[in-house]
Amino acid sequence: MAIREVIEALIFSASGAVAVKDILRIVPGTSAEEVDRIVEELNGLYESGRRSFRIHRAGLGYLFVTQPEYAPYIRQLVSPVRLTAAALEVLAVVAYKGPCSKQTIDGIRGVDSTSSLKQLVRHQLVDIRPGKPMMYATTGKFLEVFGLTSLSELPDIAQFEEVFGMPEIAEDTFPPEAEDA
Amino acid sequence: MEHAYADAASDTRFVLHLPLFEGPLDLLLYLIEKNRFTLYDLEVSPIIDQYLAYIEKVRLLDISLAGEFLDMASYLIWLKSRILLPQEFALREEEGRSPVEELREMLLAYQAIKQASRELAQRPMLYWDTFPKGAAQRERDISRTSLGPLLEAIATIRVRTKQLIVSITPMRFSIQEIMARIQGLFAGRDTIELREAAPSGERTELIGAFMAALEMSRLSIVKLLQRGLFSPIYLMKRQ
Repeated sequence: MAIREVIEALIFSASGAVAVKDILRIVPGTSAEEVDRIVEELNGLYESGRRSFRIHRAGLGYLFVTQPEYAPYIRQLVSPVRLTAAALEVLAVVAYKGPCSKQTIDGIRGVDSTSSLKQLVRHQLVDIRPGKPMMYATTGKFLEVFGLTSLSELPDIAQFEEVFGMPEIAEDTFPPEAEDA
Repeated sequence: MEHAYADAASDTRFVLHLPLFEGPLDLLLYLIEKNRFTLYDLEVSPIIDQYLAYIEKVRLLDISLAGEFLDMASYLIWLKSRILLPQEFALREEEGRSPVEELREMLLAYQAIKQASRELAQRPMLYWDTFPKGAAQRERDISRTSLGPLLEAIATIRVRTKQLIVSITPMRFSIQEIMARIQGLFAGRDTIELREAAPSGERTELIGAFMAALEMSRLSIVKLLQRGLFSPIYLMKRQ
């Protein structure tokens, strides 16, 4: 029995993601890098066999997921919920600034975020940490859903500011138009 | 009613095309982009005018607007008044940054988050673009639900509603009655203390007496007087 098929069986048997550490415990003598390589190999097999699924690395483990092109069919079976634009904004704040209070979230967005936060907590994408004030942080499921292994994989937020921004200008040169007038 | 509704629905002249915004910062960013400004070469005055014009338009249409939009409107009116001041006074707080600078920073932070949220939305999402094994079972449709989960659901509802039972103590004191009682207490004097109208000292009776006093004040039968917080309330008969 090849290690490759053992790993495939382990990932296949689980309903959620199988943690890398569980695979390493059950299959002695392997390393995380080795598991990664084997998963790549399996995915290569599925691709050449034109299968509708692949193994994805998500959160802290591996899981079988369907290929995106089948989504329109599967959606008719599961009727998933789409996050609203507001909820996505709140999620971005929590992912980049979290753990943070609701006040921080409202401050950055300039609007009340209560209902979006509730939606995200209900979907287990955001978790509440007790305290005063209560803090909001993204969950393991958030990483899983967005295909991340850690928050540090998110693009640097400073990069977004650069897209629109230009070099800092001294305060007293502003507003330049007023000086011209 | 139904007829009128159908008419309004078929009359396309009433179709409105107002862009929707997540909040005041979103609206400001839209206006800045529309005017082809960037956040660094920003002319604030025209943006403020257009923001206020938008708010006014929406209000005329009687569409309820989130309070935050109005808060921002009053802030912008203040900001514009500061801009119109002569340069040596304008736009400079006692220490540090100008209000325009602060607004710009708020907009930059919001814009970055908005961009980050778009970036998130573009990632392939589990349960939307890809599905794990068993996703279809998680949200069973009702025809495939068996008796077990149904009974479980009923049990949950039972427990939930049980906790919601509240006992209501009926009001045993009618306000009319206490008002009559107060009128009686005024026999031979002009001022009584509210507590006299509730001799039992029970909470419900006190509440009744308080409401009776408010009602009599409303009807201009008495004047109410209290010298300080939690001090006795006096009822003075009006002539």
